[in-house]
Amino acid sequence: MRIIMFVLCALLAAAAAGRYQAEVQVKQKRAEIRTLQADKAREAREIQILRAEIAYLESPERLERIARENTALKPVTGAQLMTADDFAVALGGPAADAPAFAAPAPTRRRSPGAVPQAVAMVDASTTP
Amino acid sequence: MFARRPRPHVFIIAEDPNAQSAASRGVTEGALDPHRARRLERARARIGMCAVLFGCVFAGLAARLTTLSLEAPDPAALRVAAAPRHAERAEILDRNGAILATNLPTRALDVAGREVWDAAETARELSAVLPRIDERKLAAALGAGRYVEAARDLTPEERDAVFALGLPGVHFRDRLKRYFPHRDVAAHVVGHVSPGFGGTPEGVMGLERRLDAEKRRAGRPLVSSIDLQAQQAVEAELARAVDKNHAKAGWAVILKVATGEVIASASYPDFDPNAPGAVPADARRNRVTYDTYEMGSAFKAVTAAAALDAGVSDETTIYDARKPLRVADRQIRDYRGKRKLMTLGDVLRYSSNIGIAQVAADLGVDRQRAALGALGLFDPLAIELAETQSPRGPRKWGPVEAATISYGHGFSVTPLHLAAAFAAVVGDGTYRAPTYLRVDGAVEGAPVFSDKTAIVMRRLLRGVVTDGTATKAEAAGYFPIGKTSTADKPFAGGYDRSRRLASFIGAFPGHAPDYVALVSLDEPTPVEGTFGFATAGWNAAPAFSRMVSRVAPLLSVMPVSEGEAYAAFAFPSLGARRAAVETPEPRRKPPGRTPRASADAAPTLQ
Repeated sequence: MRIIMFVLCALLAAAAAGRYQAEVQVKQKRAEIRTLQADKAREAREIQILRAEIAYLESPERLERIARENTALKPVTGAQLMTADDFAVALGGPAADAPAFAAPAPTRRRSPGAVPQAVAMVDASTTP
Repeated sequence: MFARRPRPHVFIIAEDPNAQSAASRGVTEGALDPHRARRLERARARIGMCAVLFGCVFAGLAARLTTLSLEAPDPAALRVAAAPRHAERAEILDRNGAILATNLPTRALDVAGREVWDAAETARELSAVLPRIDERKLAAALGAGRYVEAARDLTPEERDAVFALGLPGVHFRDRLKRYFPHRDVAAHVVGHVSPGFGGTPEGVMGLERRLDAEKRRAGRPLVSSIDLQAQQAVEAELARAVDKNHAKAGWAVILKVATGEVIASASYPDFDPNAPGAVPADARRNRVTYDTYEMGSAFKAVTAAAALDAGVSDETTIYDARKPLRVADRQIRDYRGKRKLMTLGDVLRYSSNIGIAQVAADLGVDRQRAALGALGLFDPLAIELAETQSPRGPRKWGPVEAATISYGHGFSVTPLHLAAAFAAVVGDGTYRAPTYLRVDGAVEGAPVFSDKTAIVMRRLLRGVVTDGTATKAEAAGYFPIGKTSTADKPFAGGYDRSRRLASFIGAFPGHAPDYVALVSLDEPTPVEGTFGFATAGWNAAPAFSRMVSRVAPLLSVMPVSEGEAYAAFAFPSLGARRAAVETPEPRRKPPGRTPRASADAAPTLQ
């Protein structure tokens, strides 16, 4: 019986010591978690602020104002764009294949961009 | 371990102090009386049972301790605990992912009146660090023992400065601030928020209000259909046009034909959602979706399309616009009329009220109403913004109303209504309801007109730009099509000729429209370079031109050569051309209205 009591007391002491140690470790881990959470929240706040700041810095309105004040740049217009094929032609390359039904060159002066009457005539001439 | 083992009684008695006395008394184990032996046996059993019980309890505790020590924490619980408060309200993004509205974590400064030692000193020192604090009011509130929010949105420097004062009763509170990085860009679409109950922002208008309706939270951003760069370009050009023409206000909208997505939507004057109260309420009104107007001659395009589709008119039909047209008791006149016979193309090109009224008469009230209804012009738009409005039409729809509505008088719609209807007219004849949210994939829509009608309308509306009232709407490489509209503003009992609404609604690229754009100027005035005119061709059309020239490259719309565009205007596809060649359609005779007759000339393509 005495041995049993010794064993039980030893177990009790071991359990108490183990529990104390575990509790200390748990407290440490909790403190670490709190620190990590605080760090994470702070980082998230800073990231959020930085995202907002980037959005502001990249605002088209702001960039246009800065460009206008500091450079001679102007917004791009369609007249400044060309396709890769057009670019090749501009560099002296061969022209792309014209469509089979391409309209002939207008033979009379007309408004820029107006649909030429010649196109309609081509259409009419192909109608039986 | 706790099993009972047989032991010699002598040994036990020798161990028992009582046994000593028993032995001294000359009593041996064998001499115990049976009653006493049973009691001893029972006591041993009880002790054993207690030991077993204690052992079980200790074992249980140890096991539990072990599991608690080894158990991994619940990740979900950690996530919730670590979730930042500022992420609660969802962000609003443009169609390309640019932030339109986000949350900024800030700190508010609270002061507890009951905790301060000296209210006057506290107020004085705080106002010295934060000049925006009213020292007198704060001192009075603290003196009364109240808990006061002294300041919001402290910068880190301000917080440090207040902290350094070391005042008792001062608390810093984490707070959400809704932030709109692009300020007035897309303000009417994004909307703004109010502080709300408990400091939680609540959407007041625009997509911010939509967020609350959807209860959308962090991690699920609301992706709008707006293209931020196009929106900024549209707003810049709109502001420029309004200022240049000394207009009272203006609005513009760009719609994607294939999906009905609103790519840009601007009202001017505008406001900064970060400080919505800094401007009058009028500046916060979304004129594109919330205001209804008699949009004027832009309706002629709708009327013409309905007539073409119904077969009561074609490109060769002639209308007499030589003199005013009398409909019942109403005399219909043209503004600076050409006083000549006109084709349908001429009617649109010169914006003839007389001609389009005849078209409407041929079309008939029922078919006109059906067409307008199919184009969504009778119902409020089912958009994602709360700022919507029902169109306003006549109570009675007779010949007079049919005539006036054919050129956009007596029927009020929002600008977005008109843009969506126009997209069906010049697109593929299909009506697609406009939306302020990004659409991934195709939108089927509801067919209203045939594809052929839309093709003819593009040709006719190209003539408006090349030789009609909108020559200043030209945009190199994009061959825009469209219609001007200069409408006198109605007032009680008639129309005020001195107050006008000048609009241009068009599409680009004209030969195969990807986008529809509408620009309106409210009460523009004649300015230098307009030769005394304040009509749409002199103000809205140039604004449209500049807008298209800037926006089209941003939307990756490549300019095309004249030959390519002409071919598309005349023959939208090789298949269509082949079909036209193989099965020529006989020229229709429109229902007789003297002196109407088919023109001998080829279809007008100017």
